[in-house]
Amino acid sequence: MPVPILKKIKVSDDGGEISVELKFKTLFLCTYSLDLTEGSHNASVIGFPKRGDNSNTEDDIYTLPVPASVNNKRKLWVVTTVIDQVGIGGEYKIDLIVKQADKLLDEITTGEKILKNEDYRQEFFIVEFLI
Amino acid sequence: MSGKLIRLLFLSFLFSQINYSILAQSDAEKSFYRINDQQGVQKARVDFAVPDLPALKIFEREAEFIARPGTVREISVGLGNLFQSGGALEVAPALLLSKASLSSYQQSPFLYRARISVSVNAPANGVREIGWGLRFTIIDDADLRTDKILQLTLISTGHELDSLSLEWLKSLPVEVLSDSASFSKEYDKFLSPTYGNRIKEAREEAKKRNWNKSILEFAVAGSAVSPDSTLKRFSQSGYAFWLTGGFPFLGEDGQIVFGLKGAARRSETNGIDDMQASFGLRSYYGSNNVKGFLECDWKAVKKQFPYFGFNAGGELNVLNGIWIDCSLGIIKQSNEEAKFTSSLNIKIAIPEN
Repeated sequence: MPVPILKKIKVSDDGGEISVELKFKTLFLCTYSLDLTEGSHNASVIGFPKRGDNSNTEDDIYTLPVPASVNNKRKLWVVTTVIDQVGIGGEYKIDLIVKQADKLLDEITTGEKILKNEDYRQEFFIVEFLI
Repeated sequence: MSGKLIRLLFLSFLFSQINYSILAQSDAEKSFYRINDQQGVQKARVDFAVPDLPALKIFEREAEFIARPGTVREISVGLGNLFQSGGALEVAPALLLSKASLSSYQQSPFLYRARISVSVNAPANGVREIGWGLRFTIIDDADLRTDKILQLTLISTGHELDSLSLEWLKSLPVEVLSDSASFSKEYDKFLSPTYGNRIKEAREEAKKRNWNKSILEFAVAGSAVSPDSTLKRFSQSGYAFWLTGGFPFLGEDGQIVFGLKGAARRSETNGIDDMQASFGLRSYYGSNNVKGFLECDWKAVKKQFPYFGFNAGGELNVLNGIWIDCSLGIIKQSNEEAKFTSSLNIKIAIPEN
Protein backbone atom coordinates (compact mmCIF):
# COMPACT_ATOMS: atom_id res chain seq x y z
CA MET A 1 0.00 0.00 0.00
CA PRO A 2 1.59 3.30 -1.04
CA VAL A 3 2.07 6.00 1.53
CA PRO A 4 2.95 9.53 0.45
CA ILE A 5 6.47 10.68 1.18
CA LEU A 6 6.16 14.13 2.73
CA LYS A 7 9.10 16.47 2.85
CA LYS A 8 9.76 20.12 3.68
CA ILE A 9 12.74 21.55 1.84
CA LYS A 10 14.41 24.81 2.70
CA VAL A 11 15.41 26.85 -0.32
CA SER A 12 17.36 30.09 -0.52
CA ASP A 13 15.51 33.11 -1.84
CA ASP A 14 18.61 34.22 -3.75
CA GLY A 15 20.08 30.78 -4.40
CA GLY A 16 19.02 30.51 -8.02
CA GLU A 17 16.57 28.42 -9.95
CA ILE A 18 15.03 25.38 -8.27
CA SER A 19 14.78 22.17 -10.29
CA VAL A 20 13.22 18.81 -9.62
CA GLU A 21 14.19 15.60 -11.37
CA LEU A 22 12.58 12.18 -11.37
CA LYS A 23 14.81 9.13 -11.83
CA PHE A 24 13.37 5.71 -12.50
CA LYS A 25 15.69 2.76 -11.85
CA THR A 26 13.56 -0.02 -13.24
CA LEU A 27 12.56 -1.93 -16.35
CA PHE A 28 8.89 -1.29 -15.56
CA LEU A 29 7.04 1.34 -17.52
CA CYS A 30 6.44 4.38 -15.29
CA THR A 31 4.24 7.42 -15.87
CA TYR A 32 3.91 10.48 -13.70
CA SER A 33 2.07 13.74 -13.11
CA LEU A 34 3.74 16.56 -11.28
CA ASP A 35 1.95 19.64 -10.00
CA LEU A 36 3.05 22.80 -8.24
CA THR A 37 0.35 24.47 -6.18
CA GLU A 38 0.05 27.69 -4.24
CA GLY A 39 0.56 27.38 -0.51
CA SER A 40 -2.76 28.89 0.51
CA HIS A 41 -4.91 26.68 -1.72
CA ASN A 42 -4.48 23.85 -4.18
CA ALA A 43 -4.66 25.84 -7.41
CA SER A 44 -1.90 24.94 -9.85
CA VAL A 45 0.80 27.45 -10.65
CA ILE A 46 0.75 28.53 -14.32
CA GLY A 47 2.56 25.97 -16.47
CA PHE A 48 1.66 23.07 -14.20
CA PRO A 49 0.78 20.19 -13.98
CA LYS A 50 3.39 18.40 -16.08
CA ARG A 51 3.39 14.80 -17.09
CA GLY A 52 5.82 12.31 -18.55
CA ASP A 53 7.10 8.75 -18.57
CA ASN A 54 10.34 6.79 -18.53
CA SER A 55 10.12 5.31 -22.04
CA ASN A 56 12.38 7.93 -23.65
CA THR A 57 15.97 8.97 -23.09
CA GLU A 58 15.12 12.56 -22.19
CA ASP A 59 15.73 13.57 -18.60
CA ASP A 60 12.62 14.18 -16.51
CA ILE A 61 13.74 17.53 -15.11
CA TYR A 62 11.47 20.50 -14.42
CA THR A 63 12.37 23.98 -13.24
CA LEU A 64 10.22 25.97 -10.86
CA PRO A 65 9.30 29.60 -11.45
CA VAL A 66 11.90 32.25 -10.68
CA PRO A 67 12.85 34.03 -8.53
CA ALA A 68 13.06 31.17 -6.06
CA SER A 69 11.28 33.24 -3.43
CA VAL A 70 7.94 32.96 -5.29
CA ASN A 71 7.93 29.27 -4.43
CA ASN A 72 7.86 29.90 -0.70
CA LYS A 73 5.15 27.69 0.86
CA ARG A 74 4.29 26.22 -2.52
CA LYS A 75 3.74 22.47 -2.68
CA LEU A 76 5.02 20.03 -5.28
CA TRP A 77 2.79 16.99 -5.77
CA VAL A 78 4.18 14.01 -7.65
CA VAL A 79 2.14 10.94 -8.55
CA THR A 80 3.92 8.09 -10.30
CA THR A 81 2.40 4.87 -11.61
CA VAL A 82 4.66 1.86 -12.00
CA ILE A 83 3.16 -0.49 -14.59
CA ASP A 84 4.11 -4.14 -14.98
CA GLN A 85 4.02 -4.28 -18.76
CA VAL A 86 5.26 -7.88 -18.93
CA GLY A 87 3.26 -9.35 -16.05
CA ILE A 88 6.12 -11.10 -14.29
CA GLY A 89 6.98 -8.65 -11.50
CA GLY A 90 10.31 -7.06 -10.76
CA GLU A 91 12.04 -4.29 -8.85
CA TYR A 92 11.87 -0.53 -8.99
CA LYS A 93 13.30 2.53 -7.29
CA ILE A 94 12.14 6.07 -7.90
CA ASP A 95 14.14 9.10 -6.80
CA LEU A 96 13.03 12.71 -6.67
CA ILE A 97 16.07 14.99 -6.75
CA VAL A 98 15.65 18.61 -5.75
CA LYS A 99 18.40 21.09 -6.66
CA GLN A 100 18.87 24.83 -6.49
CA ALA A 101 21.32 26.19 -9.06
CA ASP A 102 22.89 22.72 -9.37
CA LYS A 103 23.33 22.43 -5.62
CA LEU A 104 21.66 19.29 -4.29
CA LEU A 105 19.03 20.19 -1.71
CA ASP A 106 17.47 16.81 -1.17
CA GLU A 107 17.11 13.36 -2.70
CA ILE A 108 13.85 11.69 -1.80
CA THR A 109 13.53 8.02 -2.67
CA THR A 110 11.05 5.20 -2.56
CA GLY A 111 13.97 2.86 -1.88
CA GLU A 112 14.25 -0.50 -3.64
CA LYS A 113 10.79 -2.01 -3.95
CA ILE A 114 9.40 -5.19 -5.43
CA LEU A 115 6.24 -5.30 -7.52
CA LYS A 116 4.78 -8.76 -7.82
CA ASN A 117 1.27 -10.05 -8.55
CA GLU A 118 0.09 -6.48 -9.11
CA ASP A 119 -0.53 -4.85 -12.48
CA TYR A 120 0.56 -1.45 -11.22
CA ARG A 121 1.48 0.45 -8.10
CA GLN A 122 1.50 4.15 -7.35
CA GLU A 123 4.03 6.20 -5.43
CA PHE A 124 3.40 9.70 -4.10
CA PHE A 125 5.77 12.52 -3.16
CA ILE A 126 4.67 15.80 -1.59
CA VAL A 127 7.28 18.51 -1.11
CA GLU A 128 6.74 21.87 0.55
CA PHE A 129 9.28 24.59 -0.25
CA LEU A 130 10.16 26.97 2.53
CA ILE A 131 12.46 29.96 2.64
CA MET B 1 -11.50 -24.26 -37.64
CA SER B 2 -13.79 -23.58 -34.69
CA GLY B 3 -12.60 -23.90 -31.12
CA LYS B 4 -15.29 -26.52 -30.43
CA LEU B 5 -14.13 -28.76 -33.26
CA ILE B 6 -10.54 -28.49 -32.13
CA ARG B 7 -11.55 -29.43 -28.56
CA LEU B 8 -13.28 -32.53 -29.93
CA LEU B 9 -10.17 -33.43 -31.90
CA PHE B 10 -8.12 -33.23 -28.74
CA LEU B 11 -10.54 -35.47 -26.87
CA SER B 12 -10.23 -38.03 -29.64
CA PHE B 13 -6.58 -38.43 -28.76
CA LEU B 14 -7.37 -39.53 -25.20
CA PHE B 15 -6.59 -43.12 -26.07
CA SER B 16 -2.95 -42.30 -26.51
CA GLN B 17 -0.23 -41.87 -23.97
CA ILE B 18 -0.84 -39.04 -21.45
CA ASN B 19 2.00 -37.13 -19.89
CA TYR B 20 1.69 -34.53 -17.19
CA SER B 21 4.32 -31.92 -16.68
CA ILE B 22 4.53 -28.89 -14.51
CA LEU B 23 6.55 -26.04 -15.87
CA ALA B 24 7.33 -24.10 -12.75
CA GLN B 25 8.90 -20.89 -13.95
CA SER B 26 10.91 -18.49 -11.91
CA ASP B 27 10.75 -14.74 -12.46
CA ALA B 28 13.97 -14.63 -14.38
CA GLU B 29 12.96 -17.55 -16.57
CA LYS B 30 9.75 -15.74 -17.36
CA SER B 31 11.46 -12.52 -18.26
CA PHE B 32 11.10 -13.24 -21.96
CA TYR B 33 7.46 -13.90 -22.31
CA ARG B 34 7.68 -15.36 -25.79
CA ILE B 35 9.70 -18.33 -24.68
CA ASN B 36 7.91 -18.97 -21.45
CA ASP B 37 4.38 -18.28 -22.44
CA GLN B 38 3.79 -21.63 -24.07
CA GLN B 39 3.67 -20.01 -27.45
CA GLY B 40 5.13 -20.79 -30.84
CA VAL B 41 8.68 -21.44 -29.89
CA GLN B 42 7.67 -23.25 -26.73
CA LYS B 43 6.93 -26.53 -28.39
CA ALA B 44 10.20 -26.48 -30.27
CA ARG B 45 11.85 -25.74 -26.97
CA VAL B 46 10.78 -29.10 -25.68
CA ASP B 47 12.96 -30.67 -28.29
CA PHE B 48 15.53 -28.16 -29.37
CA ALA B 49 14.95 -24.87 -27.63
CA VAL B 50 17.68 -22.81 -26.05
CA PRO B 51 17.70 -23.76 -22.35
CA ASP B 52 17.28 -21.18 -19.61
CA LEU B 53 20.40 -22.43 -17.87
CA PRO B 54 22.83 -23.88 -20.45
CA ALA B 55 25.37 -24.50 -17.67
CA LEU B 56 22.94 -27.03 -16.17
CA LYS B 57 21.49 -28.37 -19.37
CA ILE B 58 24.88 -29.54 -20.56
CA PHE B 59 24.72 -32.14 -17.78
CA GLU B 60 21.06 -32.94 -18.62
CA ARG B 61 20.04 -32.39 -15.02
CA GLU B 62 18.01 -30.10 -12.80
CA ALA B 63 19.51 -28.16 -9.91
CA GLU B 64 17.95 -28.21 -6.48
CA PHE B 65 19.29 -24.73 -5.87
CA ILE B 66 19.39 -21.90 -8.43
CA ALA B 67 20.70 -18.49 -7.39
CA ARG B 68 20.01 -15.33 -9.36
CA PRO B 69 22.06 -12.69 -7.56
CA GLY B 70 21.16 -9.06 -8.01
CA THR B 71 24.40 -7.49 -6.82
CA VAL B 72 28.13 -8.10 -7.28
CA ARG B 73 28.38 -8.94 -3.58
CA GLU B 74 25.64 -11.55 -3.91
CA ILE B 75 27.58 -13.09 -6.81
CA SER B 76 30.69 -13.61 -4.69
CA VAL B 77 28.61 -15.13 -1.88
CA GLY B 78 26.67 -17.24 -4.38
CA LEU B 79 29.84 -18.56 -6.04
CA GLY B 80 31.28 -19.48 -2.66
CA ASN B 81 28.17 -21.49 -1.77
CA LEU B 82 28.06 -23.02 -5.22
CA PHE B 83 31.54 -24.53 -5.03
CA GLN B 84 30.87 -25.86 -1.54
CA SER B 85 27.48 -27.45 -1.92
CA GLY B 86 26.60 -27.38 -5.63
CA GLY B 87 23.73 -25.78 -7.52
CA ALA B 88 23.47 -23.21 -10.27
CA LEU B 89 23.87 -19.48 -10.58
CA GLU B 90 22.68 -17.17 -13.33
CA VAL B 91 23.35 -13.48 -13.87
CA ALA B 92 22.42 -10.90 -16.47
CA PRO B 93 25.62 -8.80 -16.45
CA ALA B 94 24.12 -5.68 -18.05
CA LEU B 95 21.37 -5.59 -15.46
CA LEU B 96 23.87 -6.16 -12.70
CA LEU B 97 26.59 -3.72 -13.67
CA SER B 98 24.65 -0.81 -15.11
CA LYS B 99 21.91 1.44 -13.84
CA ALA B 100 19.20 -0.38 -15.70
CA SER B 101 16.43 1.76 -17.05
CA LEU B 102 13.63 1.03 -19.47
CA SER B 103 15.02 3.40 -22.10
CA SER B 104 18.51 1.84 -21.93
CA TYR B 105 16.95 -1.62 -22.20
CA GLN B 106 15.01 -0.52 -25.27
CA GLN B 107 18.18 0.89 -26.86
CA SER B 108 20.29 -2.24 -26.29
CA PRO B 109 17.96 -5.15 -25.57
CA PHE B 110 20.55 -7.68 -26.76
CA LEU B 111 22.94 -6.67 -23.96
CA TYR B 112 20.27 -6.72 -21.26
CA ARG B 113 18.94 -10.13 -22.29
CA ALA B 114 22.40 -11.78 -22.28
CA ARG B 115 22.92 -14.17 -19.39
CA ILE B 116 25.82 -16.07 -17.91
CA SER B 117 25.25 -19.24 -15.94
CA VAL B 118 27.48 -21.47 -13.85
CA SER B 119 26.60 -24.81 -12.31
CA VAL B 120 28.47 -27.07 -9.93
CA ASN B 121 27.73 -30.66 -9.15
CA ALA B 122 29.39 -31.66 -5.91
CA PRO B 123 28.91 -35.36 -5.16
CA ALA B 124 30.18 -36.70 -1.85
CA ASN B 125 33.34 -38.26 -3.31
CA GLY B 126 34.94 -34.86 -3.79
CA VAL B 127 34.62 -34.79 -7.57
CA ARG B 128 33.49 -31.43 -8.91
CA GLU B 129 31.69 -31.06 -12.23
CA ILE B 130 31.47 -27.49 -13.37
CA GLY B 131 29.36 -26.14 -16.18
CA TRP B 132 29.34 -22.69 -17.71
CA GLY B 133 26.95 -21.21 -20.21
CA LEU B 134 26.19 -18.08 -22.20
CA ARG B 135 22.70 -17.35 -23.45
CA PHE B 136 21.78 -14.65 -25.97
CA THR B 137 18.43 -13.50 -27.29
CA ILE B 138 19.47 -11.98 -30.58
CA ILE B 139 16.00 -11.07 -31.81
CA ASP B 140 12.76 -10.92 -29.83
CA ASP B 141 10.12 -8.91 -31.62
CA ALA B 142 7.51 -10.09 -29.14
CA ASP B 143 9.30 -8.65 -26.10
CA LEU B 144 6.64 -6.66 -24.25
CA ARG B 145 9.26 -4.24 -22.96
CA THR B 146 9.99 -3.10 -26.50
CA ASP B 147 6.44 -3.31 -27.89
CA LYS B 148 5.64 0.29 -28.91
CA ILE B 149 1.91 -0.28 -29.40
CA LEU B 150 1.55 -1.74 -25.91
CA GLN B 151 3.72 1.03 -24.51
CA LEU B 152 1.52 3.78 -25.97
CA THR B 153 -1.62 2.11 -24.62
CA LEU B 154 -0.15 1.72 -21.15
CA ILE B 155 1.25 5.26 -21.10
CA SER B 156 -2.21 6.58 -21.92
CA THR B 157 -3.74 4.48 -19.13
CA GLY B 158 -0.99 5.59 -16.73
CA HIS B 159 -1.51 9.28 -17.50
CA GLU B 160 -5.23 8.97 -16.99
CA LEU B 161 -4.68 7.30 -13.63
CA ASP B 162 -1.99 9.83 -12.65
CA SER B 163 -4.28 12.78 -13.35
CA LEU B 164 -7.15 11.29 -11.36
CA SER B 165 -4.83 10.37 -8.50
CA LEU B 166 -3.25 13.81 -8.45
CA GLU B 167 -6.62 15.52 -8.01
CA TRP B 168 -7.63 12.98 -5.37
CA LEU B 169 -4.33 13.42 -3.52
CA LYS B 170 -4.64 17.21 -3.49
CA SER B 171 -8.15 16.94 -2.08
CA LEU B 172 -7.04 15.01 1.01
CA PRO B 173 -6.66 16.86 4.32
CA VAL B 174 -3.15 17.11 5.78
CA GLU B 175 -4.11 14.81 8.68
CA VAL B 176 -4.85 12.01 6.20
CA LEU B 177 -1.71 12.64 4.13
CA SER B 178 0.50 12.42 7.20
CA ASP B 179 -1.10 9.34 8.71
CA SER B 180 -0.35 6.10 6.87
CA ALA B 181 -3.34 4.19 8.29
CA SER B 182 -5.84 6.91 7.33
CA PHE B 183 -4.19 7.32 3.94
CA SER B 184 -4.33 3.58 3.23
CA LYS B 185 -8.01 3.53 4.14
CA GLU B 186 -8.76 6.42 1.78
CA TYR B 187 -6.59 4.91 -0.97
CA ASP B 188 -8.54 1.63 -0.74
CA LYS B 189 -11.75 3.58 -1.32
CA PHE B 190 -10.21 5.51 -4.21
CA LEU B 191 -8.74 2.47 -6.01
CA SER B 192 -10.75 1.07 -8.85
CA PRO B 193 -10.10 -2.27 -10.54
CA THR B 194 -10.65 -0.60 -13.92
CA TYR B 195 -7.03 0.36 -14.46
CA GLY B 196 -5.60 -2.99 -13.44
CA ASN B 197 -8.01 -4.68 -15.83
CA ARG B 198 -7.07 -2.32 -18.63
CA ILE B 199 -3.38 -3.10 -18.14
CA LYS B 200 -4.12 -6.85 -18.16
CA GLU B 201 -6.21 -6.53 -21.31
CA ALA B 202 -3.54 -4.49 -23.09
CA ARG B 203 -0.94 -7.12 -22.22
CA GLU B 204 -3.14 -9.95 -23.44
CA GLU B 205 -3.87 -8.09 -26.65
CA ALA B 206 -0.14 -7.60 -27.22
CA LYS B 207 0.51 -11.29 -26.66
CA LYS B 208 -2.14 -12.24 -29.19
CA ARG B 209 -0.74 -9.76 -31.68
CA ASN B 210 2.83 -10.94 -31.16
CA TRP B 211 2.46 -14.68 -30.91
CA ASN B 212 4.25 -15.39 -34.19
CA LYS B 213 6.74 -12.51 -34.16
CA SER B 214 10.41 -13.18 -34.87
CA ILE B 215 12.66 -14.61 -32.21
CA LEU B 216 16.23 -15.91 -32.41
CA GLU B 217 18.13 -17.29 -29.44
CA PHE B 218 21.55 -18.84 -29.08
CA ALA B 219 23.40 -20.50 -26.22
CA VAL B 220 26.72 -22.17 -25.76
CA ALA B 221 27.94 -24.20 -22.80
CA GLY B 222 30.98 -26.10 -21.63
CA SER B 223 31.71 -28.47 -18.80
CA ALA B 224 34.83 -29.44 -16.87
CA VAL B 225 35.59 -32.07 -14.28
CA SER B 226 37.98 -32.04 -11.36
CA PRO B 227 38.77 -35.32 -9.61
CA ASP B 228 38.89 -33.58 -6.23
CA SER B 229 37.57 -30.50 -4.46
CA THR B 230 40.88 -28.63 -4.71
CA LEU B 231 39.81 -27.62 -8.24
CA LYS B 232 43.46 -27.78 -9.37
CA ARG B 233 43.19 -30.50 -12.00
CA PHE B 234 40.28 -29.47 -14.14
CA SER B 235 39.85 -30.99 -17.56
CA GLN B 236 37.35 -29.91 -20.16
CA SER B 237 34.71 -32.62 -20.53
CA GLY B 238 31.97 -31.38 -22.82
CA TYR B 239 30.65 -28.74 -25.18
CA ALA B 240 27.17 -27.88 -26.42
CA PHE B 241 25.34 -25.23 -28.38
CA TRP B 242 21.69 -24.44 -29.13
CA LEU B 243 20.14 -22.20 -31.74
CA THR B 244 16.39 -21.59 -31.90
CA GLY B 245 14.43 -19.28 -34.14
CA GLY B 246 10.80 -18.49 -34.85
CA PHE B 247 9.53 -16.32 -37.67
CA PRO B 248 6.14 -15.27 -39.07
CA PHE B 249 4.84 -17.58 -41.76
CA LEU B 250 1.73 -17.32 -43.95
CA GLY B 251 0.77 -13.91 -42.62
CA GLU B 252 -0.48 -13.24 -39.11
CA ASP B 253 -1.67 -16.76 -38.37
CA GLY B 254 1.43 -18.82 -39.00
CA GLN B 255 4.88 -19.29 -37.57
CA ILE B 256 7.85 -21.34 -38.61
CA VAL B 257 10.21 -22.48 -35.89
CA PHE B 258 13.55 -24.23 -36.05
CA GLY B 259 15.83 -25.70 -33.41
CA LEU B 260 19.42 -26.77 -33.83
CA LYS B 261 21.52 -28.45 -31.18
CA GLY B 262 24.99 -29.91 -31.09
CA ALA B 263 26.86 -31.56 -28.25
CA ALA B 264 30.16 -33.40 -27.75
CA ARG B 265 31.64 -35.10 -24.73
CA ARG B 266 35.27 -36.07 -24.09
CA SER B 267 36.23 -39.51 -22.88
CA GLU B 268 38.74 -40.22 -20.12
CA THR B 269 41.39 -40.64 -22.81
CA ASN B 270 40.62 -37.09 -23.96
CA GLY B 271 39.08 -38.18 -27.25
CA ILE B 272 35.60 -37.15 -28.37
CA ASP B 273 33.63 -40.33 -27.81
CA ASP B 274 30.09 -38.98 -27.70
CA MET B 275 28.81 -36.54 -30.24
CA GLN B 276 25.29 -35.71 -31.36
CA ALA B 277 23.41 -33.16 -33.39
CA SER B 278 19.75 -32.56 -33.98
CA PHE B 279 17.62 -30.28 -36.08
CA GLY B 280 13.88 -29.70 -36.04
CA LEU B 281 11.60 -27.61 -38.16
CA ARG B 282 8.01 -26.91 -37.18
CA SER B 283 5.35 -24.78 -38.76
CA TYR B 284 2.33 -23.53 -36.82
CA TYR B 285 -0.96 -22.23 -38.03
CA GLY B 286 -3.65 -20.77 -35.79
CA SER B 287 -3.69 -18.25 -32.98
CA ASN B 288 -2.09 -17.75 -29.61
CA ASN B 289 -4.55 -20.12 -27.91
CA VAL B 290 -5.28 -22.72 -30.58
CA LYS B 291 -2.89 -23.85 -33.23
CA GLY B 292 -2.03 -26.84 -35.36
CA PHE B 293 1.47 -27.83 -36.39
CA LEU B 294 3.55 -29.92 -38.75
CA GLU B 295 7.04 -30.90 -37.73
CA CYS B 296 10.03 -32.75 -39.10
CA ASP B 297 13.09 -33.73 -37.05
CA TRP B 298 16.51 -35.14 -37.68
CA LYS B 299 18.91 -36.45 -35.08
CA ALA B 300 22.37 -37.96 -35.50
CA VAL B 301 24.40 -39.66 -32.78
CA LYS B 302 27.99 -40.81 -33.26
CA LYS B 303 28.22 -44.50 -34.17
CA GLN B 304 24.45 -44.75 -34.71
CA PHE B 305 22.20 -44.45 -37.72
CA PRO B 306 20.41 -41.09 -37.89
CA TYR B 307 16.76 -40.70 -36.91
CA PHE B 308 14.11 -38.94 -38.96
CA GLY B 309 10.74 -37.95 -37.63
CA PHE B 310 7.54 -36.36 -38.83
CA ASN B 311 4.71 -35.15 -36.57
CA ALA B 312 1.38 -33.42 -36.93
CA GLY B 313 -0.72 -32.16 -34.05
CA GLY B 314 -2.15 -29.23 -32.19
CA GLU B 315 -1.87 -27.12 -29.07
CA LEU B 316 -4.79 -25.78 -27.08
CA ASN B 317 -4.75 -23.31 -24.21
CA VAL B 318 -7.75 -24.59 -22.22
CA LEU B 319 -7.34 -22.30 -19.21
CA ASN B 320 -4.88 -19.66 -18.06
CA GLY B 321 -1.73 -21.66 -17.44
CA ILE B 322 -3.07 -25.01 -18.67
CA TRP B 323 -2.14 -26.28 -22.12
CA ILE B 324 -2.88 -29.49 -23.93
CA ASP B 325 -0.85 -30.59 -26.86
CA CYS B 326 -1.18 -33.75 -28.87
CA SER B 327 0.48 -35.21 -31.91
CA LEU B 328 0.58 -38.17 -34.22
CA GLY B 329 3.78 -38.98 -36.02
CA ILE B 330 6.20 -41.34 -37.58
CA ILE B 331 9.82 -41.93 -36.63
CA LYS B 332 12.41 -43.84 -38.61
CA GLN B 333 16.00 -44.83 -38.00
CA SER B 334 17.89 -45.46 -41.22
CA ASN B 335 18.38 -49.16 -40.58
CA GLU B 336 14.95 -49.90 -39.11
CA GLU B 337 11.32 -49.84 -40.08
CA ALA B 338 9.28 -46.74 -39.46
CA LYS B 339 7.30 -46.56 -36.20
CA PHE B 340 4.13 -44.63 -35.52
CA THR B 341 4.02 -42.43 -32.44
CA SER B 342 1.32 -40.51 -30.60
CA SER B 343 1.27 -38.31 -27.55
CA LEU B 344 -1.05 -36.22 -25.44
CA ASN B 345 0.53 -33.81 -22.98
CA ILE B 346 -1.08 -31.65 -20.34
CA LYS B 347 1.20 -28.81 -19.34
CA ILE B 348 0.63 -26.63 -16.33
CA ALA B 349 2.48 -23.34 -16.09
CA ILE B 350 2.22 -20.81 -13.27
CA PRO B 351 -0.35 -18.31 -14.57
CA GLU B 352 0.74 -14.72 -15.00
CA ASN B 353 -0.82 -11.79 -13.17
